[in-house]
Amino acid sequence: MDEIKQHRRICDIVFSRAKGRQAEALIMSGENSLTRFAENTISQNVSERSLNIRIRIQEGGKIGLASLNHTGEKEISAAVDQAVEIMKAQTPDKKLLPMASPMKTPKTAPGVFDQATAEITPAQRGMKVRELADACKKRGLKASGIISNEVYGVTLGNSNGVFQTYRGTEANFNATVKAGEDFGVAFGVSHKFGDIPFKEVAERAIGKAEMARKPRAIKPGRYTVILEHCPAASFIICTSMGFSARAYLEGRSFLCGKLGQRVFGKGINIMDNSLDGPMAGMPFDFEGMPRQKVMLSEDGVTASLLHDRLSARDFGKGAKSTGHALPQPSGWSPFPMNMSMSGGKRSLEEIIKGTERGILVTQLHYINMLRPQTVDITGMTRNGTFWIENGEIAYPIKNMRMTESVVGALNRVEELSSDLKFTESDYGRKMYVPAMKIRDFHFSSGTEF
Amino acid sequence: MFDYCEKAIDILKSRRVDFGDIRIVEKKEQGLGVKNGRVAAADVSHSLGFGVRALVNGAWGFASSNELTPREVERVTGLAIEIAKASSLLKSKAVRLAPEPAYQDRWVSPFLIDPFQVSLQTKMDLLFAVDKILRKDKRIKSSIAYMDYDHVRKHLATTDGTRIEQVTLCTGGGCICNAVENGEIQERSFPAGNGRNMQQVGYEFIDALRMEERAEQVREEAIALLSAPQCPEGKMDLIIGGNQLALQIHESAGHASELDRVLGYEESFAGSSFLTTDKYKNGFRYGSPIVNLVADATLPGGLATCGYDDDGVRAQRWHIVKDGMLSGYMTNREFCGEIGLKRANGCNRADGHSSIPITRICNLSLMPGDWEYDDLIASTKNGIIMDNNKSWSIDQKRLNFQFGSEIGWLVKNGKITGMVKNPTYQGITPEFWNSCDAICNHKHWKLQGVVNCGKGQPGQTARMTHASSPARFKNVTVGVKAK
Repeated sequence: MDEIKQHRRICDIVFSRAKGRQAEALIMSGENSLTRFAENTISQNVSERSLNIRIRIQEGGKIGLASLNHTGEKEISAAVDQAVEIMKAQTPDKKLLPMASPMKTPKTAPGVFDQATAEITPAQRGMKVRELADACKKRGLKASGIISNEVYGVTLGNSNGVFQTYRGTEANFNATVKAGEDFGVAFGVSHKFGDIPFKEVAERAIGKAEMARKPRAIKPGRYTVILEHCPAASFIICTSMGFSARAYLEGRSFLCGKLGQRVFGKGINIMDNSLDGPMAGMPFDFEGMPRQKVMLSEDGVTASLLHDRLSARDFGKGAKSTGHALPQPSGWSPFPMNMSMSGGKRSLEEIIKGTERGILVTQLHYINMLRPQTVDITGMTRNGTFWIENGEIAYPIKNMRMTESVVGALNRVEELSSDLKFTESDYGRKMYVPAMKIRDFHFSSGTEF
Repeated sequence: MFDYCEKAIDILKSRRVDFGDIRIVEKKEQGLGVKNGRVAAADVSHSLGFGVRALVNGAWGFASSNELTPREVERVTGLAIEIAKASSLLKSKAVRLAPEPAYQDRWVSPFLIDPFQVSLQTKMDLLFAVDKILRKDKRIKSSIAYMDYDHVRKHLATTDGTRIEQVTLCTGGGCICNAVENGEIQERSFPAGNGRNMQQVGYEFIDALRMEERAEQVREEAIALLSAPQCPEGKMDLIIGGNQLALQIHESAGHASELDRVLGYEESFAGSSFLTTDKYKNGFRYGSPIVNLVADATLPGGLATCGYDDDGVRAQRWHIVKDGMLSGYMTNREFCGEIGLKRANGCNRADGHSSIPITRICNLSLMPGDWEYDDLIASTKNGIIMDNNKSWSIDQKRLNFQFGSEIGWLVKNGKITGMVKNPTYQGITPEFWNSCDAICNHKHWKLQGVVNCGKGQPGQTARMTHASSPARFKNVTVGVKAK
């Protein structure tokens, strides 16, 4: 039985067993194959197949949920019964939203699923690891990182007639190279394994590592900084929750009291778009609503909040779902999952050439929020931090801790690169971003490495 | 379940692997939550699946599946072997597992009240009541009351004869609220902030929390924080309470002592560690002489407490730091030989059937000192108390850290003089632990469960417990903020 037929069967069992109550089945499946390497050798090699069926039952303002990872009719029916039992123990909520009705959703963008990527073998991943490891061994370097290929699917069906399915693939290459006690890193990520420029990523990581040898210490303080694409993504992703209408309603957003006003500097354009382009993904959200392309910041002015159906109702003023619901109910919903940022006029190389004095950051590590009102965050530099002098990378510097307001820093952006990348970020979420040059960036302390 | 195990073991043996094992994990969870007067979580989940490890020609392969059938066991076991063969094409040295006796055993964690048997009505009524108390003031813009509990049954069979069944029950709960006024937002939680709190016990944990009584205090402190002054900037003595200290232990001692990190096997993701093996061999003062950090897989109520780890190694108790000196690591059977240990400490754990076991922090606790809490305050001239973790960040070698708490209180000339908001502190790990000059006694020693420890690729989430009593650290940089 093919996957869609299988998922229809699961939905039918759920709806039938729910006996006229509102019912929803969210089916998430996948197979993640990942080769991990360290010290120029494969250290871990896994293939994990997973399935989760999340059942939501509603009736009379009450809600109950049950999850399982089996597809047998008996087990699914038992889970529905458990959800009903939980539901019956609830206090009625007069404001509980009924489940969504079918809506026309956009077609899935081409290119998000690649059969060849789904079928990549351990041996194929191993060959790519070997190419990197051999290149490192020749130079007396050590490689670590991952190569992975993943296929995943989401099916959402409800008893009102919603039935949406999505399948995607993703391949990742993280090359971290150690030169003595110093490091360089480069990433490759794509929906297609075949589109990852393995050789180019490997050479970039090796080049960074070799440049990073013997770093010098500089004093903490304020410096002009150039965040390469990966740290720029980590930095911008910290604004995610602030664009949620739920966070806004609860006073947790940096946009509170500033909707429609200038919050960032001119030239800062941020959007969430899963429908096409480099961040294409699921065209529907976890309520079954069509995902919309939403401008979050237009030339530094906050344009729109993100909504699910519940936040739209609570917000009022004619607000409607923008298709950003997480599985319901959720304290985190709505949420942007497909953020991107527009670029500027000059390439990263040209921006470096145009910088008299500054710091080039290859990666940020372990970022955490200090204050959501101004998106104050802290985190470390990692895997290649360099001093720029008179338009050239002069020498590597020791890692430093940044303690900075993202909102404040986005008002001090001097330039965005014209070259944009679909890149990894600190916590695994991806983003399509330019590199960013920011003045007066705050580093609060240093390290000895 | 052992029938499925035997099928996998037969295949592994017939294919002449160096070593192989199968874990079948069945997990039942329930999560209940009320947010802002409405149901935010009301779900039960059940999962069953298995994972197979194969060591072939000295290299690992792992495969897993949620479909527990003889045919799927055969497919997945074969796949694990094929993956191991692919791994063996690029290996610098063969993996050799440290020996461990083969055990045939059953281990069950103790509890008094099964939370699954407490009526849903009772549990939801409690959460609605707590949430209502939190929302008694209009300045509380979001409130959450929650409880979670899970029951895990695990079968482990290895090619060297181990057959172990383990059953654990864990229970957690608490409440959180956010107060908002004039653009200011402040959070308070009980008993824990980020990551919640949980113990390997039953519903007696929820009863003991007395959440309805504590919710009043949580609400009032969140509101008081709105108008409290900012945490001052500068250097002063820092007194850390149990929840914040758990985070400090976790990040600066727990992860730093994971031997896989120390040896470079986590380099590309979570990073490595400054606690290099030369320090272990030559002697390294990690902290002041009163600092004793003990790993203990037998700690009653600890979230990492077990009979055996996922390598089949029996639970142990050992020092990571003894009288201030680095004394040990978190080890598994694969890596312990690299520092000359003949036996692993039993730290190999996976977060479920679908994940490969990796080196994990065991329960790791700061042993009590001999100070009364009142004496600790009375002897502090210029200090700040911080508790309940709010933010955390530490570098890739576990040296430079910046942590933030929900709440702080200034101490002047031996007296608590007032509350401050947004307290943060920064430090370098060994300097910080060497500045520890006082640890409270056993009367203040409490368990803090960590439920959200992320590590590995693909990512896994582990649990462990860090017990401690409040401790004082001299001359610490506090009040670091974005400028």
